[in-house]
Amino acid sequence: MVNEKKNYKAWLYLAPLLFLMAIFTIYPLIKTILISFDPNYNPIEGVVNFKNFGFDNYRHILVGKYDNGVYIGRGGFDNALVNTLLIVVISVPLSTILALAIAVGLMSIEKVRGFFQTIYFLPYITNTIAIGMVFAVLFNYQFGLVNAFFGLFGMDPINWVNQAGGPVPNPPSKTSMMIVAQSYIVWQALPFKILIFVGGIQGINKQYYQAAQIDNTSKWRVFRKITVPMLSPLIMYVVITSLIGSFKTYSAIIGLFPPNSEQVDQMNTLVGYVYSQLGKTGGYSLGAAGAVVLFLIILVITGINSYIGRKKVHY
Amino acid sequence: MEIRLENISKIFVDKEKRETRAVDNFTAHIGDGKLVGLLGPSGCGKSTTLFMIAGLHNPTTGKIFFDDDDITLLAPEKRGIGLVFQNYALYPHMTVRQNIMFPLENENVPKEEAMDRAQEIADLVGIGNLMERKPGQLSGGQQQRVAIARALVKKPRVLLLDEPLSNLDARLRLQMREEIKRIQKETKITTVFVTHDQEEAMSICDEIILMELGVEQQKGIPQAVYDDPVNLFVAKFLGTPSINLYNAEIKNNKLYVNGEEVLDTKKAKISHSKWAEFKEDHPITEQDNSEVIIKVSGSPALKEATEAALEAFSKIAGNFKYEFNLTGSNDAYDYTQGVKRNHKQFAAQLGISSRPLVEEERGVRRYIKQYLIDAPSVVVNKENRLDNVTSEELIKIITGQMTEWPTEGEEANTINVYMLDEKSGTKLYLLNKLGIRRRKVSRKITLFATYEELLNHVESNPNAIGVMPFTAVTDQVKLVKVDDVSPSVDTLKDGSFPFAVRGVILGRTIAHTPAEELAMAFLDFIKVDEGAKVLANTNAIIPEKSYLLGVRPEGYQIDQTNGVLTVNIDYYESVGRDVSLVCCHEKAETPTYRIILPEVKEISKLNLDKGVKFSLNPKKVYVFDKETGERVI
Repeated sequence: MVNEKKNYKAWLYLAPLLFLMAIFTIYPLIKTILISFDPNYNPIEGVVNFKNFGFDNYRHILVGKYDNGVYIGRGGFDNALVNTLLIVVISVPLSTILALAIAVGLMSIEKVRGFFQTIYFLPYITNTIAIGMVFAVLFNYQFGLVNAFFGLFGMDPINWVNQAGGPVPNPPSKTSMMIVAQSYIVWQALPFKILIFVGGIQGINKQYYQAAQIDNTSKWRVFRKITVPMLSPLIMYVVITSLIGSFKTYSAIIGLFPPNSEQVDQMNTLVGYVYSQLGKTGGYSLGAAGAVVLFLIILVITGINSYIGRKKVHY
Repeated sequence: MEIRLENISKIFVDKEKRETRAVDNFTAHIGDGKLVGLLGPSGCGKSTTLFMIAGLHNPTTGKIFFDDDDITLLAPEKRGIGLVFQNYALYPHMTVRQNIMFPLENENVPKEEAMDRAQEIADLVGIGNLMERKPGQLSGGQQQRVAIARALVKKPRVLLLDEPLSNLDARLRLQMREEIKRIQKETKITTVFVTHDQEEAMSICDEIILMELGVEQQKGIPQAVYDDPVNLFVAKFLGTPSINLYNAEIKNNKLYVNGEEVLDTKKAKISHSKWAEFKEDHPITEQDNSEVIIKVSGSPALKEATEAALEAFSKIAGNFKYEFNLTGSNDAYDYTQGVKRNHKQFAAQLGISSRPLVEEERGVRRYIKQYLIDAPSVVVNKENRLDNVTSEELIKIITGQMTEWPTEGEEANTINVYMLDEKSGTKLYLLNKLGIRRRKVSRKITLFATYEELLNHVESNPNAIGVMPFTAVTDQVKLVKVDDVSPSVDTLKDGSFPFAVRGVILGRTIAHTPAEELAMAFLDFIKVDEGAKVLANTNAIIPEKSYLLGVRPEGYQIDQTNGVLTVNIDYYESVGRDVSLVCCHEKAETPTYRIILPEVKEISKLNLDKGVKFSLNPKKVYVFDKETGERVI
């Protein structure tokens, strides 16, 4: 227990970290929020003008803007939001379930478990952009393995990602790009989750399984009634972290699609949107507003998550 | 359901291909409905053995049978076992009810029925009111009950308990072990109980199997193993406080401790289990003492039992002649007259040395004791489901006109035979189907001279069906009519007449079968009777070298004033077959069964460290080979 007298000591110990946090976390956070309310923020001057304060920026990115009576849209924010939500809604459950299945599968084999564990872990230690480019090659129109595979069944090649290498018939559809992006994100998310789940399963007392075996419990019931409840704190952890991670997806898109291409714009995410605003006139304000919206979304989702977790997770 | 383990071994191989022999050529037989304890120090292979019975480990070699089915390779879920783990392995996310119902849901038992069965079993183990709690909200003892309930709810053929009490505090442990015994008794389920705690095993198990380093050391009724340890390990492992050991030496058939003579090895009783081996090393030669006279007298019992005893005895003692001295035995049978006789007179008739009577009551008790052992009275009560036997039927049974109990079911053969206290109506057990057992003896016991009187007693005593004199010593109680007994030496000699050996009741009889018991009795009998010479003992030359003398510590009390030690024997309540000691009860009603042996003979007095003089009870002193740990005496 820290009593009143010694309180100052505790603060003293914390001071270096607090100082750094104040500069690099708290100040930018507050500044970002302030900027988001100032439509005419000039990054060169760096001064927030409180006179202009209003929801203009938010109205711009969420509702849209009229320039001299002409509707000029939401500046790509809506597209980024939809893309991001799609990635979150599809890739998080898919990768979590897949990881759980693979982890359980890994634990039920004995001989080559180490080998497979290594294989599944490889993506984790490989650079995202590099892997993205590998995926881009996989889905290449002319040389890609995926088109070659579908070709075996007599299917026409699909222009998945519009990566260079020769002429392509028509620009890739959004669906095809989304399929590539999702599969890439899921694949990339697996190793960490598998690692966590394997560790979790190893941590479950073997006697629970022996007891279940003696009681003639089917494998599916063992999974449903023992493994999943026992892993539930970890599942919760994995879901929350990967939800947040998915909302912040950015580098995957950059790695997959040609630089500065129309495809990158089409597949833009929230973080991508914020980033792309930096180079534009008046973009700082819009970017800040987008960042705040992203922050609020993550806050709400995490809140809901932990509420559900309290009811369903067995700690 | 019977479990048989035949020569099972389990070898674990680690990553560096090193072999660990956890269980080595282990053979055991666990009887139907028995509670058997696998006892031993940590790492002795007892849990491995249990897991092999469960099927969680496969034996490297050997076979496991449930009844006649070879289940060695059967998957655990097909064996029909219930297993209680050391840490209970209750599913923490499920309520007590869900935990107990889990095995039933696996078998797709309808929900209603599953709920009922779960409730029923929870009530049995005493947690019926905690069904909605989760394991984390229960105490250790309650968790253990849940674990037992979960193991029992699917009605397994065998219940396996792996150190179930080790996570409980000392007081709860005492309570729970009695609970386990109770539950086991009520469910009558064959149970294997693994523990490292000797007290636990000794107090609740019908039989214990003591293991070390994967090898069985000794098995048997707990008290018998305690009383008759085969080697130093067993002697040291059992007993709290543990056995005292002194360096000793044998020279000229005398055992010396600190240079003082303690024991005449020729007179010492050699461990039952070691006797046969000892005999091989010390063959009896004709010229030594070719004639052995064994006096046999007593009441009639079954011919087969006696023959078996003689056979067993001849195996142990080698060639011997015997003659039957039935002097006075006809009088001894006179108990049908219901006449109380003088103890000394009775003893003389039986040909046993009469002991002075300390007081009349004790004398009467002793008299009755011996009287009854020779002619055990029998009460068959309602527990044995003979309540629907009519009086006529009973008489027919008793008089031998009916040879089988007129009841159906398996209990018909397992008859417990009791002696009743006439006054209180309490049961004073005398015999059960295995033979003679030590039980409480009350002050007044009246025998019935006639069947009419007997039946009158039955009418007036709701607990009893019949009390009458007859003799029964065999695996299954058979009835021999007393009235017709008029034995002559001739009938005995040609073997046509069944008879019993008086020695049955004289010695400490620790054995599994009546035949062994009788054989042991012969040995005791021979030693008691000065007229008989035993070849074996005259030849009992134990090699001269260093030994360890073991003295059971709880067996004595030292009187500080004169330094004389009195030997007491503490009995575990659930065991004990030492009938000859029963009559020596200081107080018949004492629940502790503390017995002071009046006939403790002073073998020697010796000075130990503190100069305390004490005398030893020869039956509580053991001599072990210093190197091998094998028991010698």
